[in-house]
Amino acid sequence: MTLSIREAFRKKIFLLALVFAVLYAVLFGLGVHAVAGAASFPMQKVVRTLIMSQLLAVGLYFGSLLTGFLSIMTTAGAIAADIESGIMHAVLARPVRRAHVVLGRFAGLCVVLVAFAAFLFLEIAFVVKYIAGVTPALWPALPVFCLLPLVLAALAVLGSTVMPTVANGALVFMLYLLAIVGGMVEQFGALVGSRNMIDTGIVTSLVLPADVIYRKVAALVLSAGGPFADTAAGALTGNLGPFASQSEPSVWMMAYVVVYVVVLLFWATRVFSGRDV
Amino acid sequence: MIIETDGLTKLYRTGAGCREVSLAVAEGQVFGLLGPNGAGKTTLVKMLVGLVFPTAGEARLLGRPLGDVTVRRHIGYLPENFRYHDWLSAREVLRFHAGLAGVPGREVETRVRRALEQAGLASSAGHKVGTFSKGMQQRLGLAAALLSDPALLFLDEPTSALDPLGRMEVREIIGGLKARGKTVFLNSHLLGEMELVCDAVAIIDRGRIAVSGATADLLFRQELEIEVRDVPGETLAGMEEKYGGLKVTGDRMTVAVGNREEVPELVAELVAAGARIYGLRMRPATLESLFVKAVGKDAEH
Repeated sequence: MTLSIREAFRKKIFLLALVFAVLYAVLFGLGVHAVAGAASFPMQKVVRTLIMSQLLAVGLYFGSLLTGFLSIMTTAGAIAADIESGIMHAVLARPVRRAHVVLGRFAGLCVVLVAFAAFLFLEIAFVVKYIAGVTPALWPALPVFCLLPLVLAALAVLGSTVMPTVANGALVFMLYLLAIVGGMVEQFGALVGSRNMIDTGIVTSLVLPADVIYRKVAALVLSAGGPFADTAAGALTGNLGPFASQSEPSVWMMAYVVVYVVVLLFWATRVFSGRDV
Repeated sequence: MIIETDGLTKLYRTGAGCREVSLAVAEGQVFGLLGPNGAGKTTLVKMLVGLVFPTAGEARLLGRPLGDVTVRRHIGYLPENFRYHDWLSAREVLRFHAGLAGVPGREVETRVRRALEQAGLASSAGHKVGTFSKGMQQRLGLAAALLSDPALLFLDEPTSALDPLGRMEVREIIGGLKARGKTVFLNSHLLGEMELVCDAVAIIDRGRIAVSGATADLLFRQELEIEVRDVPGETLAGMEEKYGGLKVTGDRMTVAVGNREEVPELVAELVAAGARIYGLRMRPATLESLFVKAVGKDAEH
């Protein structure tokens, strides 16, 4: 585990990700600042609230995409890359259980990815608070936001025990896109009242519960009880626009996410413990 | 026996692998496994160190069955196709492997320093592995294998990237290990080197053990080349039965003899049978001649 963390720092993966996250926050902050400055007279307060909520949703949405892409890129070769390079041959001949190698790699990479996700979430919250004067609810949205790298890393680590790095990365990336598209289909389904569209979204969320995590975060940040709840437009913000959450994922879906990670990791340890290297 | 295999088999979908390998390696021996490319040498070693799972048969290392993770505390392994984390220094790689090998914390630095010195890397200990030449990486692999002071060492092509001096140093290291009672299982193409260091060898061909035994016993047989004419057919048949390895090409006949004392006896037999002898030459057997005989000259080497 510690080696994976050191690797992320030594190879400057974490540093580059943080630099990119800061650039993203600067860009996001410029947008928020422009909107905050434009909406200055009273009649525009409702519009301003709506726009601010949408900007926050956009910030979190693209933040989750950034986290997702980084998670896939850093974990697609977690096991496979070390097998391909020959590093794993010397490691597995040591008195270590293969399950520990898998879990150690997962844990080490996730420490870095969760730290990145938390940093990204907090800087978006910081921008919104200090530029637009809106304080987003951090709890429990922040820990839910940090579930995304865990889900993607668990899937990528499982794939990495059976597939080469490139094939695994491509597969996980496509599944992630499928989950995002499925999530959008579900949102539109909720908007137009189509059961089939909602079910399609639920199925893709069961295959890869990634988009559902963002929807839960959006619901927690934007819905009643969130930072816009006391405004006239507050009731609308929770389910308005393409980046909002028309139907908030249930607690059971969040429980499914946790079970999903545990099952995939268990599966990965079983597969890797029985394969030739 | 420190290594015992019984019918150990690994068959890949391509049909390659090892078939019914039964070997016994005694403690303190330097054992050499020879074979052409793709014969199954690396597959056998990978099965023994736990990287590949056998499809049939069984094996015991240090008295423990294959798959026993704890036995690996006493095993060192230099893989054939290896690499170490290129962003770490040689010293950091060895510290990492010391942790994996279960070396007690207070001994790590001493063991790392000793392994670096043994492998001739003391002056490059702080350099990044990514800057190392292939030969230096092989030395690092050897240092990693020696790190836990294992009772049993598997070295898969340990000198393939080394220059002649480096090869000599590795031979000295292997000699030193043998002197300390360690067992070394060596995979190599370099027959001359194997002949110098191995107490026992096995030749594997197309996944099966073709020849195995103590090196001294296998090389004891020598070839006698005779320039001869008019040898009766029944004499040839009798010699083949008595000595073996008979080969006749024109006026040249070669026959395997166990020792020099058999030569006058053989010559007397030929003369008594009416054959006319024009010349005699003893050719000592080498691992190379044994290898060629066991594997066949048309095999890919």
